[in-house]
Amino acid sequence: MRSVLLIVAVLLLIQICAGFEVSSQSVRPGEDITLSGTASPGERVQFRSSFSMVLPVVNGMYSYESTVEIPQKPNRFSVSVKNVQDLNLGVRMGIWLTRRIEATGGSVSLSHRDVPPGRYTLKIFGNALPGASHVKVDVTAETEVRADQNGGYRLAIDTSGVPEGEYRIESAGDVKVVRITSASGSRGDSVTSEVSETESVETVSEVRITPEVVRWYANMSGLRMENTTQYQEVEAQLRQRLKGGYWKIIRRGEPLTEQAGDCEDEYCLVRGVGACTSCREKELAILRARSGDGVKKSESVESAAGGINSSIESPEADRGIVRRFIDWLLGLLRMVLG
Amino acid sequence: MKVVVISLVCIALLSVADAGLTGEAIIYFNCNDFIKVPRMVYGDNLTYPLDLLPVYTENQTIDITFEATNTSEVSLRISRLDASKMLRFVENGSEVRFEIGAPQNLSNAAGDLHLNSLTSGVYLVSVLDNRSSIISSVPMLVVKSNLTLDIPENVTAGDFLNVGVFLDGLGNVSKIFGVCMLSISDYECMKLIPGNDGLNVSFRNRSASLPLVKPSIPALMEMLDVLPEDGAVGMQESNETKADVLLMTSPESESGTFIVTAAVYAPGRGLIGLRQGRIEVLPAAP
Repeated sequence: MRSVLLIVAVLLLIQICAGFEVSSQSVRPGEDITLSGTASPGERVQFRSSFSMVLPVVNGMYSYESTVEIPQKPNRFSVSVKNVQDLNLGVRMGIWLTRRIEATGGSVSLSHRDVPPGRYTLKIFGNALPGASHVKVDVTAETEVRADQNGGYRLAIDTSGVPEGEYRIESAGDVKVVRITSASGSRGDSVTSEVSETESVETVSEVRITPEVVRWYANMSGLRMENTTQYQEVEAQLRQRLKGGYWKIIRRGEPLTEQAGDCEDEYCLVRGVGACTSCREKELAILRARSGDGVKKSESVESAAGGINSSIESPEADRGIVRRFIDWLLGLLRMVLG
Repeated sequence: MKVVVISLVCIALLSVADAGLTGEAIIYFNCNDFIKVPRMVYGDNLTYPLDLLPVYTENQTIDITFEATNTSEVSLRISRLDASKMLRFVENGSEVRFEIGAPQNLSNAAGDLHLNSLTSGVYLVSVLDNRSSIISSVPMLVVKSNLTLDIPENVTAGDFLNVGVFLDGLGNVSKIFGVCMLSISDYECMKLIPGNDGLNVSFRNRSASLPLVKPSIPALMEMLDVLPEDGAVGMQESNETKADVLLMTSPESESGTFIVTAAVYAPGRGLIGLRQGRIEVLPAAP
């Protein structure tokens, strides 16, 4: 009898520790990731996914907008923002709904469960702490899937809104990391994840992509950069240009690789090691065209969109922006109607 | 732009003759504020004059002047509005009586009424003829505190709109500051249609039913879908007496005049303040 129990226990442990599989280790932004595995028949298997991103601060403000796909209930989403004075959350459900939360100690942490499923446009924005150049955003999404009668389960996760970089998925102690990346190799995202930022530093090597560099690039290319959206477009263009090593940025005084003398401006855009002459000529022609009067937006971002699978809310009330808005309306109605 | 204090003349013209009412009356409210609300429609061709709603504060003197035609003697009564009874009134006209205090009988067909103050709530001001039939009724809103708005004169479509909301008093109390922005043209296209269970909110080809007696979250979710996409809603919780509420405008918004409505609600205390202002939305840069 004891041996039977032992076998059952071992089988249970094997089942619990079986983990899960992901359909791909690397997907393009917006593509689905399918999670599959085995559990007890009818068992609810919980998943927790998370990612981080670093938003640039422009004129003291940060901003991120994307389309989000909210999966079926039950679900829970959490957002943590650091280096900020406040956090504004906007959800477009036909009409734009916005909620503002003031930060405590430079941070805002919000959590919301059972967001109505659907596809929404989401915007995160607000005032950064004085002097901050970046704002760090951590997003966590939780959902669950029920195993069928044979114990099998499959769950598709929409990665809309998830920026390029690492997308971490956890379930029952098992952790998988999926890489969100453009298959073409271009960096079109308007947001830099922590991982991708590290990569970009490696790619560019000499000069990091800071707001100062982006501003310089906008001036050099004749691009408008009067708001956060335009900043993100310019940054995306710059990253796209630098991707692959055809071009690189050097600082004032550093030797030019293709022109005589040193860089005399604050920064200079020069051909990198990997560029071929024909590519460089083509790029120069494009650059000259851009620095003229016309800048086509369509050139700018290949995948600026992307969604955070989240909707957000205050932990103390455990309700989301939509729910809070509706509660507010309900309160008004109760008062008005007696 | 501070909201201009307007001495409102709110006119209630009787348009419910088919509902069994007689005569005609005009009611003037000398008040500091009013809000524009969508038109209420009932029956086939009947509209209820809810376009302008006078708003008083609790400690404010209420001055009402009224005139009636086709009758030599009228009375005026003010009652707290019961939504369900109002709906029945709308359905059945004068057959339903309100739970009201004793009417103030007036010997003339015109007169003035001065009330020192009323507690916050929704009231119905009715003019009755000598047979106690309602000639005309107009809703009136009383809120706890005065609200002031700080709104820029214009905003470019697609930009943020920061609305400063300032409340007289009630500090250190948890409150929700809410601001709604809708274009005037959308207001004119919006209708409130009373039904058996509540109000049907209709905008262009969309509509949703809003139960008034027991409003539910799913019903309100449906209502959100009805609201015009050009509009915006913002909210902020605060214990302070002021809040900066940010609204997000859509780059596709039609340019023109928008109505900005701010309301402050305190859980357990009800509606604290209500104020409306206007702003011009400029077209987004090409």
